[in-house]
Amino acid sequence: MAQNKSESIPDLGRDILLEMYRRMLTIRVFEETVFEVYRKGWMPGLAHLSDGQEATAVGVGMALRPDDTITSTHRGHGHIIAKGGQVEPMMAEVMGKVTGYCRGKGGEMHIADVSLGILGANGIVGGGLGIAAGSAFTAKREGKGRVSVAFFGDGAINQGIWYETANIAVLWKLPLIYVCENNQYTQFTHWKKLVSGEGLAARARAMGMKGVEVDGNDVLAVYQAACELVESSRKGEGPATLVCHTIRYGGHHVGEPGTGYRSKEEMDEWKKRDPILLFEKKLFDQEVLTPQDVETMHDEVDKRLQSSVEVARQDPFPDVKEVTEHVYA
Amino acid sequence: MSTRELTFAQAIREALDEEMARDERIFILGEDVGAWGGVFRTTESLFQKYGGERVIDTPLSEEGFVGLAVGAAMTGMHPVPEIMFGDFITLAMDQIVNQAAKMRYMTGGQVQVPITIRATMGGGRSSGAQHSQSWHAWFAHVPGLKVVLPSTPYDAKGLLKTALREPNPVLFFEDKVMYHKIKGPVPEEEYLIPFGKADIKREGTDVTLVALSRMIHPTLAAAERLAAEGINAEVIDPRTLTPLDEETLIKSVAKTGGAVIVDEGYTHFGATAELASVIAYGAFDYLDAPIERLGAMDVPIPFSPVLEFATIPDEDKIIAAAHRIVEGRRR
Amino acid sequence: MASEILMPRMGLTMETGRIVSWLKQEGQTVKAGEPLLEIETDKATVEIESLESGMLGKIVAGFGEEIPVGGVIGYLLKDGETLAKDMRGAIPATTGNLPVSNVSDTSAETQANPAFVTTKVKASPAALHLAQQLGVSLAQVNGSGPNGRIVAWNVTEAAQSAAKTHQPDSGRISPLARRVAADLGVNLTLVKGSGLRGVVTRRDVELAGQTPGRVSAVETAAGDSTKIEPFTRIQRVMAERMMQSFSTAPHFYLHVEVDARQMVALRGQLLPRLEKRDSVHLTFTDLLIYFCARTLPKHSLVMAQWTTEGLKRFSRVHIGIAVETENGLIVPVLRDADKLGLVEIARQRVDLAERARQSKLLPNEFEEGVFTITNLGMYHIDSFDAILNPPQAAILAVGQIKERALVENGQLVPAAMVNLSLSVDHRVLDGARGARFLNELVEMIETPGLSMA
Repeated sequence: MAQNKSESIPDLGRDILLEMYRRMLTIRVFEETVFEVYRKGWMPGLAHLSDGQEATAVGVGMALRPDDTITSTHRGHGHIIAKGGQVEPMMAEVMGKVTGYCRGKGGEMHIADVSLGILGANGIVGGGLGIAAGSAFTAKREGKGRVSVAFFGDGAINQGIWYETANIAVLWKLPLIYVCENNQYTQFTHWKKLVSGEGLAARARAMGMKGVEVDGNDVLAVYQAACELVESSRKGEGPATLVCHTIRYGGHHVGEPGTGYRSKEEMDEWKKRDPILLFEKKLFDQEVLTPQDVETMHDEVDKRLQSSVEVARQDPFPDVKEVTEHVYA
Repeated sequence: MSTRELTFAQAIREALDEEMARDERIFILGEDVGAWGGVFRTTESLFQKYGGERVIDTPLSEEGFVGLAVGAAMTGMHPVPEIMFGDFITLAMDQIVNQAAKMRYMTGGQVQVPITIRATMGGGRSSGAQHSQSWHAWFAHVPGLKVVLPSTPYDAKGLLKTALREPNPVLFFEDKVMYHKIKGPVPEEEYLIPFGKADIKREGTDVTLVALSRMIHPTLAAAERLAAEGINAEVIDPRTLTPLDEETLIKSVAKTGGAVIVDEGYTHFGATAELASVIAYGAFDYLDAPIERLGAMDVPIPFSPVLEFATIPDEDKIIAAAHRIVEGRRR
Repeated sequence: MASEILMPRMGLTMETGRIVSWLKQEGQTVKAGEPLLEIETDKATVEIESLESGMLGKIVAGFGEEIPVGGVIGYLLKDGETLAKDMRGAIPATTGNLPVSNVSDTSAETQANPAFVTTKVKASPAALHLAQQLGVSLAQVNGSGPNGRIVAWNVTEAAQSAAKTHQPDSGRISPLARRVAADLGVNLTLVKGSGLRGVVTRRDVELAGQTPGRVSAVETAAGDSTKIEPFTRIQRVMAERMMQSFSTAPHFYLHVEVDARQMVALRGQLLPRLEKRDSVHLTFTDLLIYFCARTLPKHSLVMAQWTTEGLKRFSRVHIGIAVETENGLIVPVLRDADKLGLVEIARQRVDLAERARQSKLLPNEFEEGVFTITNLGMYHIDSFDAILNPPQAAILAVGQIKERALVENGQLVPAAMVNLSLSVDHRVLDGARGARFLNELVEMIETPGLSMA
């Protein structure tokens, strides 16, 4: 069983730690930027933001190889950036431009970059679970040790597809890691009102696989837990489930304030444990990072995001003639 | 070119065998498809030949194993999930409709989803309302899917081989009654039948009879009886609903002036409706009689044979419809 | 109370009569003494006249039905009369069937008879199509299809017996001629008889069969022959419109010689590229359509039309293109030409011309034109004045593009020139206004870039 919290920084090397920090920061600024973009009316549809959940995304994302695959949820920007997705084509996709990852055809809920092993964010709750199981199946056949990770939220805990694929994954020893990003609320209802028994980790164990729970705001704890589960899966020991407890700062989608069902006190408590600040403090304490570094990095990330918005705004929309393309191969 | 007589099931089995030998990315999964050889014997001995890695017995989890198949298809395999009774396909709807059909489009062309879902269809065996339905029309309504319904062993083998080489999701519907009851000539040499090409199974001049899947057989029988009365019917088998060979249908009705469309799916909003619409639009100035549609009666399929057979189109009903088309007309 | 129309007794031994054809449709009026229907008795086919004047309210016995003498075959309505509810008959106006019921009724027949609407003259689309092609009026046709529907073969039959129904004296067309006409598919209404007292003979029909639409050598008793070629419908219509246009609209003409060098250069530039990129063959007519389409909106009076009630104004730029076909001049209309790019104009022009030649234009493709361009350049005509295409107020006649002498900066230079003539309806436009439009058009032709501004 993995540690529940990390007391000190394991010997990961400065590069990895900085990269972790940078990715978390990038996610945070990306989400804040999309919020602005949405409010200014520069993107259509809805925006489902994951600020607050950075540690879960990055802790898992950085435990993976480039050829490992992930599937994600409708709230997937964090997972995608954690797996190496670039903000420029993401921003363009969010604005529906042809330069987006999916040529404007997927939109903010369906971003994918197959070359990075990102098999798509998915608009159906649990929609990525079948696909992730399939990817694990193929991985096993290929025999190169790659794994398949399925991100999903507390809402998917009760989707039948989880049980069906989990059963198959255990029976067939598929290299599949289920990562439940429990941000406490299934849309507007607290998860404890919706999930019977002891929760997902217990259910996973009942199905015959490892089920681990971890502090989803502690990026190192997530990282350690993920590494352990991923390694054992790579070795052919079968699937595992990691439940990360975290919170989303925003509402279900931009425009929904998230305050109708969550109290200020509750949110303030969570904010005290902001994943980026938590990690920052650790890095300062261990002198891996200085406040100067932090400012520099903030500047860089801010500039990059602002530039991505400007570029995406100038980029063209897809030609209407493309509407009938890519239906069939 | 030498041929031998194969049953519908044997032709399907042969297609699977040949393609699995040719392409190791193809694997079959479903309930009792492996060790048992499939409840309709369509995968007989494939387990013994290719092993449990490629012919996989899944738990009873349509959504689960079809979903897994979609993911496997997206990552380089060509899975062939089998839905034992087409009625159960409802359990896997999200995986087929929201995932498989849309992945390529939503990713802007980054992935392909080469998955061939074999499902059964058709009643007439007193299997009751939940084991006798034919759902091809539903899937023809979903952009991103292809829908195939062979009516003969020859067509089944050629179309299935094409499906197994197709980089897109295919719904391949097999009528249960035909598996062991319909035999036909199948060439020894390899052949493929392309999608989107209807087959004129009988040429005629007085009325066009369009029939899907098993319905081809009572339609051909009806055509013989009509011929004895001096009514020369043309019988067309569309073979694939998506893509649909509109040209053949329209040209035929432009020639004959009238059409009867026969299908085992429900009539109301069924496949017959789309085919009738295609004909009405394309052959408008040549219609000499309203288009007749014969689908399954719009009731849950009953168990007792007397009731069940009343709900399914048959020779007599086809002939009556043809009579209505030619009534008062003369060439 | 409607009066009954009864099967009359037309002979001593007549007991029943068979309906051959109704000469009036339900809803049509008939005068006393006017032929109403034809029946066949045991001896002959006889025409039956209406005994009274009124409206044919209901046909009860239809084509082919055998009714005893004295039996009711229809109802006649006089002013203010209506049909009583029980006046049903063998051919109801509605199908009277159940609507599509998909639960309780196992009969496939009710599923196939969803008629909720009634129409007076029911004909299948094929019958309508044929009726148009063969020039048959459906009012003259009896339907043999279910519930009296007119089907295709009724129309073809009617086309052949048309001559017979128009001439009560059935001796006018010999039975042999009739048979030959059926075999050759000849429309007997277009055949003139050369036999004794104008009877249509087999030879007349054969000749008609050879040269459709034209024909019949009429030989007088003295042995001279003068050929009279009857007009086709199109020819007649064209002639009448020409007369009407020429005599009612006061025409005046504006002439210009235009420097076509820039236009020729532009076409030279675009032709190979558009051929390659879009598979269209760009012509000068296409360019002129483009320029006119962009000039007309600024001179909307040119698109207006004179009516007795006042000046009719139009804003949509539908331009007619004169096309030469086998049957004469046809002017299909290119709609909203100002919204089309060159490639689209070329495509549509080719398509319209093609279909015009095959007589496959739809009605709305002839209508609503506000301006016409006619080009005789391909016949090496230097210039000509066109007759207005009524009810339009302007038409542009284009001559050939030819190298002519041009004085430029005091020098004589050879230059590709083209003569344009704008005919104008003086009731709508005066000289100055017409000239302003023409001037702007010429500017655009001479400096094509202006069309992009």
